[in-house]
Amino acid sequence: MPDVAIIGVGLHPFGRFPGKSAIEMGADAVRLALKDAGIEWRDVQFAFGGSYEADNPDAVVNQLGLTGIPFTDVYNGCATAASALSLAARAITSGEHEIGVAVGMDKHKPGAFAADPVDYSLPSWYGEVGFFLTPKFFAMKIQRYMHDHGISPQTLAKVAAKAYRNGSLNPGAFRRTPLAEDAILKSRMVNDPLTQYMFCSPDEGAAAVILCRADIAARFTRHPVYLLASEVRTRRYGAFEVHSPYFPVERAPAPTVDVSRAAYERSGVSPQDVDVIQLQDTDAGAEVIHMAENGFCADGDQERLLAEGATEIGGRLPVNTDGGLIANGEPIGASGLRQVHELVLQLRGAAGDRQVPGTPRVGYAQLYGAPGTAGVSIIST
Amino acid sequence: MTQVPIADGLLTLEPGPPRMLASRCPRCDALAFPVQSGCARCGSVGLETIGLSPHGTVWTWTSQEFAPKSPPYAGPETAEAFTPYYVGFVEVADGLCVEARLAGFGARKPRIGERVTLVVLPFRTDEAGNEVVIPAFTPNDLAAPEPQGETSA
Repeated sequence: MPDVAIIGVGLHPFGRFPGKSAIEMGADAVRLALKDAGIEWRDVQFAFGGSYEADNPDAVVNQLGLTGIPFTDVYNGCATAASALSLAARAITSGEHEIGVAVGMDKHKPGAFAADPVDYSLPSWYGEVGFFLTPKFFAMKIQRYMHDHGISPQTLAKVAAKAYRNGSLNPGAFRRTPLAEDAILKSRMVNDPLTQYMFCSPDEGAAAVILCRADIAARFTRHPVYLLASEVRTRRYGAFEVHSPYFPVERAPAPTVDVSRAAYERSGVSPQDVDVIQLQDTDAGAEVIHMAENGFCADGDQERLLAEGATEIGGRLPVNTDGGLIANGEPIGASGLRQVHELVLQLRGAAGDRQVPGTPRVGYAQLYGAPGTAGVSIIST
Repeated sequence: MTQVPIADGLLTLEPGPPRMLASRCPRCDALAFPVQSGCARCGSVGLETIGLSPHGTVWTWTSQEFAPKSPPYAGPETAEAFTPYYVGFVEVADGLCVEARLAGFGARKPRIGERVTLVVLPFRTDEAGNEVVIPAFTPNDLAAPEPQGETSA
């Protein structure tokens, strides 16, 4: 039997919520997850809370109840939520606790993320000359990938159109209006070859997951979902990475490749076993590349797979069934837990209009981002 | 006007043509750009500074079509007057791919695999009246780049 079960999930919708703080959204997500699990906050023995903008995610306890539990704040770039989940799972497998919460929340201003490059071990000039931006990295990565593996701009548009179409089926999504491939291709060029509607936006939202020791999950639910792996890795020397001004010609695999292998190994699951997939689609190109980096296809197969509709909700490799980051936006602290929320709904058969047909049993979620950090979680009924 | 690099450890303007600077690890030979204090592969300190080859090929590229947020962006123009530019990674003979502006492509886009040469671009003027320059690669199929600056005069 696996060690850790997921017995509750909660999501505060992603979007723009003027006047509502990240902490309030985080508290709402936890309340929803508690209700889903059928437990009370006083039953929770520990928590990990992730955020980029909120200095102190622990402040949700002011609204949930000051019960004195250990509550650890986490920030780990775009893998913040995966780190919160991974640490929460290990707090259970270590034998320290039986029931805990991983919660993530954020409230970003519109526009690309801005920070001080010096805090990323980069020289000031890197920001002064206009290089300290994440969108251009993703554009350069897919530019080379398209050149090497024959991916067309039309395929990037198909990825984005799928995201908006799936988002239109998701009441919690930020962008719920379907967009035609042609409109996506003809929208404003941001970083060649990526246009405006091929990118996700930083936004606001929160998500929470309640975990417990697997052998007590039956107390709370007849249909637990098990967390088989939740791994995090950082870049190695030689990887071509966001916020890095160089890489050696002698390349190393991306951290997603490393973390994916680690998660498959820990879970005993192989890519062919996965029924529902969540990938980091910071932009349409990232989804294409991550399909291969996570072992779901060979490099270049994406051109055919997208044309065949393989990654649609009814396809054989459903990717980002809730619209992914492109339709939901990216509140960094919450993004990875939003992925797990979606996978749990899919595995329960409770995803409504966007439900993957059949009886999906295994879900896979991947995060990647600054400063070259990746996370993968694998869950199963 | 005297040209000065935008930062130490990035670029040398003399002697000869401009070169970008990198660190080489005396223990494991790993390279890093720009100059840094600890080896990114083995963690050694006491790295040596080398000048990279000014010639290379475009490994990848993109266009920057919106004005980066300021700070940290310190270009002289306002967001409204911002002119898009190309940026890319150039593979130089030393076995490293380095990030730099790509300039001088006129109406066409850069091409992966095309040969380029390092030049410097004026970026802004500092308080002392020096012309602050940044590295850029320009295509070899253009006329030879103009001589860069009078710094040795």
